Amino acid sequence: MAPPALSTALGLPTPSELKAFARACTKLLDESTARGVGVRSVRARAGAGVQYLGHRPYLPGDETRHIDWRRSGVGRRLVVRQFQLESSTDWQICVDVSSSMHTNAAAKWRQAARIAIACGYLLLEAGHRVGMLLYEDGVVAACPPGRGQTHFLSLLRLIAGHRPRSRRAGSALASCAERLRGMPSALVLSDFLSTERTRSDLHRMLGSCYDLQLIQLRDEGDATQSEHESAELRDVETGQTLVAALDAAALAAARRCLDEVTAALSGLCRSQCIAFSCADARAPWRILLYEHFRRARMR
Amino acid sequence: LIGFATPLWLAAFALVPLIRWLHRRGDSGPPIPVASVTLWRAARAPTRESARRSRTYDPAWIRRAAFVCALAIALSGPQIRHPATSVVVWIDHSLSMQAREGEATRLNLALDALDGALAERGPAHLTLRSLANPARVWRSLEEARRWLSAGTRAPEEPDPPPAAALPTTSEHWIVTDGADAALNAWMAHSPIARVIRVGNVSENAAVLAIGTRFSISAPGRIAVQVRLFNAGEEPVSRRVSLAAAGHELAATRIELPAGKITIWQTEVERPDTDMLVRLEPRDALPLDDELAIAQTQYRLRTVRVDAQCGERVRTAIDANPGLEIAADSVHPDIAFACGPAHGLEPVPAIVVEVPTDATAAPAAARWAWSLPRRVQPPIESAGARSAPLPQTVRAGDRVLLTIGGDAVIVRRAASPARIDVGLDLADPGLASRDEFVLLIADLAEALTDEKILDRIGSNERPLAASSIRPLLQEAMTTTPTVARGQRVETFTRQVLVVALLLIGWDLVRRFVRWSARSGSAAVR
Repeated sequence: MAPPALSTALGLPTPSELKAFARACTKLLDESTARGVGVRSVRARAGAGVQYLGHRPYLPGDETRHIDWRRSGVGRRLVVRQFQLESSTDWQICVDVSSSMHTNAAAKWRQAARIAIACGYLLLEAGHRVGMLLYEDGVVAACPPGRGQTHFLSLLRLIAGHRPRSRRAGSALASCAERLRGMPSALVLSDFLSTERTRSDLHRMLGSCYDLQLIQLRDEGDATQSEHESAELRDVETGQTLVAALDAAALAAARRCLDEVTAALSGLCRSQCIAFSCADARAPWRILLYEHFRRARMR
Repeated sequence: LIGFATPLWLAAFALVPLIRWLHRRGDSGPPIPVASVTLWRAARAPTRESARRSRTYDPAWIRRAAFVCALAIALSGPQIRHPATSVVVWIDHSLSMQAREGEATRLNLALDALDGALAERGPAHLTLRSLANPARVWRSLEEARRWLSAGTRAPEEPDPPPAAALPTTSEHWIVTDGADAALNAWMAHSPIARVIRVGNVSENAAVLAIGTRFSISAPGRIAVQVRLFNAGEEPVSRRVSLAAAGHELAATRIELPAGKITIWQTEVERPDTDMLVRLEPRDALPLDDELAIAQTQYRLRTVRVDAQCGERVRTAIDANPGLEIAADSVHPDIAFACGPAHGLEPVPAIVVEVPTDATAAPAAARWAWSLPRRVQPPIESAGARSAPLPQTVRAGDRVLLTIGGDAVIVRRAASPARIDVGLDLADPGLASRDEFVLLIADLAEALTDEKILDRIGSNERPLAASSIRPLLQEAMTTTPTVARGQRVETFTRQVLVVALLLIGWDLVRRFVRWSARSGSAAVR
């Protein structure tokens, strides 16, 4: 499991913490619900057969080969077949390493690292294949999907050996879409502050995988500054500057804006059937991750 | 006292506000990195007044301003001046310092004034030096007074050391009458802390020089020229007299215009003793009112002539105004021997070896001697009775005449001096010519290495020495504070090191920042 040196570098979970957490979350990862469209099992495991699950209305983007034409003719509307997901599948964990993750003493980055490692451990324990992508303006580091404890160490090294740039590193989630071809499931860890491209990036991701889950890492420090009569704010990712008076009203407006970003992202995920959680950068990772998987299961 | 060698460099401090201005960071202070400026779009823009209040500067400006200040201080030569604890007094004991001011001489007055000034200054390590000979040192004023007042001491004109050679660790004083313009110029460029100037009298007439020359027209007499100088500011009348052995040879009254040199010429019987020129009446500086000339300057050189040399040689010596045939009882200056050189007195001698060979064939004569062309006797056309007798030339000898490649007249490297002549001086073809007299005179001059035929004797004193009028302004006698003796301790090097440390520190900071940026770029 995780070597102590690597684990302590980012405050990563200890092996005992991960084991305890895996025991607690086993039920949540029991795959018996339909989370993908037309996904067939590739391998059967005891107690969890692969079989037809049901139908649902056709949505734009669904593959036409999964349309049940007979049922569609009866109901006079297009329906697609749903199958029970295979118990063992492939996961890709996409971690944002843009400069915005580095602000405020890199609290978001450390939280993302903890969650990514815990998540990877959890999924590997459940028998899934897990890969990892670190992205900013493009994918900067990747670990191909794999299984077993040895692979967990590879994930751990990937996370521990990377550190976001302090500036001029953007956040292009769409760059991960190419690597997701054929990946049934993906989990994205990001602060999603690049609001203008979030919608389009998510659409591209949805087109590349069957099951997408988002965890937004939120840091109240992003909307907190000491008061200044006049201050020049510089966007660490784009380099854009803004001269503003940082008074109480400005701070309140920034917090409001941060809430709006979260709310907009949450609404978007709801509409696209994407499992979404908002994780505070300084909150305990166990609770966050447990709540996220629980929410994803109930989806 | 803290001071600076070149304080003009301190003007560089004016650059400090400029450096601060160059490091201003705009109206909003340093940029604050944020995760996304989108969150802050709703914040209002600051007012101009609030922007001005919140202006900040790059802290590096303090480091760089400190560097500029340290560099300026280093270039301005910071120093601490410690007052000197020793005094060096330079004493002018030239001729003009012997001028009388009332009852006492200027030198005595100056030493008295120095005594008072030293008592006023307080205790100090005292050294007194002669301006004429800086190596001459007196350890106390009394010692200097004793040495200078000794009757046998002749005045000596100043010959000060280079101004840069004066040690700055001591306070330098000078005692003078300010009558020497060259000395005054030296003082202007020297670190002299105090000038003790004495003397007010300016009128002085002096005998500058006396010269003698044998009279061509009247054998036994000498022409005397006396140069007189009125160094004062008013014309004066003086009686000038020439005397020898207390006997006045000539005298006249002469008007001496102010600041001019006047020449008095006379002709007198050549005395057998020294001559003295005297001006009367005496003035403030009696030492330059008379000047003597030694009898050796105009004494005739005596020549003992061998009887074999012939009458022509005796006549040629008689015709020379600087030579005379020595009486038998007199020890001669020169011996003239013809024939075998036996029993010669130990004096410079001209030895003629009379050739006995048959008549020589004419051959080219070459004077190796610097005789004027018109004076050179025409040896080759003389129709000599016999061939010249070649002389052997030894190391150190000087050949004066060669005929046909043979040395005929040779000055030997011997003591006493000797010239060997291989010509027949009694030969009428040679001795009957007018140039023969000159040949004999030149041989005598070549033997004695001095002018004999037209000898000029003189004795003179420098013109400036007789000028006793103080040229130094009264204001210059006050103590110039900048020239006070002091021991100076400089700190240029130390401050320069501080400046270099500051710039080095700044460079290191810049390098660290640069490498940090490069490192973050490499991670990407």
